[in-house]
Amino acid sequence: MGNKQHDFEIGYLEGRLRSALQPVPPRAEFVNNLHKRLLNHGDDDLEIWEPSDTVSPWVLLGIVSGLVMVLGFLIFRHWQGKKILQQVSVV
Amino acid sequence: MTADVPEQTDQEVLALATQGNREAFGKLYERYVAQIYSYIYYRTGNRHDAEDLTARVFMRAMHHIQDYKERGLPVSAWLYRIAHNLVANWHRDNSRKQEISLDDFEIAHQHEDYPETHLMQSEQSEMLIKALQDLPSERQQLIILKFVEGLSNAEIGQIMGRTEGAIKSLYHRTLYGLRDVIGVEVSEIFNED
Repeated sequence: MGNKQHDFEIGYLEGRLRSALQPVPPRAEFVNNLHKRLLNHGDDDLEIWEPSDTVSPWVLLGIVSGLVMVLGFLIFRHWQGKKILQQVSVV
Repeated sequence: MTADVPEQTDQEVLALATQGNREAFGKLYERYVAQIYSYIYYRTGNRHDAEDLTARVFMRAMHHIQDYKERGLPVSAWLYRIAHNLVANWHRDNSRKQEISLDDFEIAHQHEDYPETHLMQSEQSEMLIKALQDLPSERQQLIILKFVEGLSNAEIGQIMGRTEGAIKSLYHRTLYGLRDVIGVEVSEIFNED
């Protein structure tokens, strides 16, 4: 009895899903336009920006290089400043 | 160069498309655009994003068609996999999963002569789709491929990279889960009978 009810419930659910989830057709205008874009335009037209899953290694290299340069500049300025102060105090 | 490709199998058309024949790719597009669109529509819940992502699927496919390796997979499985990945990115990047409104779904109704019956069916359909939205991604994918696209367990297995048995098992677990979510409604119908 219990199994029969389970089977009936599942069968009922499948029927409702089949009824509710009908295919939804795309707009004809959209289909035609995309078809034209795919067929008639060059590869450049198809370039689309898509977010990547990971940061490009070149971007990482750029960030690290930039940080090293800034740090190097600050250390150089600090060292130069000390050197100038020492020269002034000697004079 | 234009090649006429009438009544050819997908694999034959694909072979031409991998050689850069855009007419052949256009043929594949014509065959699958409606299915891919419908799948994405149910995963996103609105026409605007469905159109945008459908365009991306075919653009990505066109870009990578020459890299397509023959692995016994039907073309449709390859396209569905691209669609699935783009939809997953869409959900992740936009965090819109919770924002999808039921109002966006144009639930397919059969024309009924009795408005009350129509209304009841409409409410049940909305409830089902809401329950479907709350399912994990792979279960949503399975139900949509099964009922919207009308694919067999074997075909769904090819798309999802699982065995037919695994799909069958997942399908039953999904249905039992759905039944538990909307169980009250089902019981009410039993009581009416």
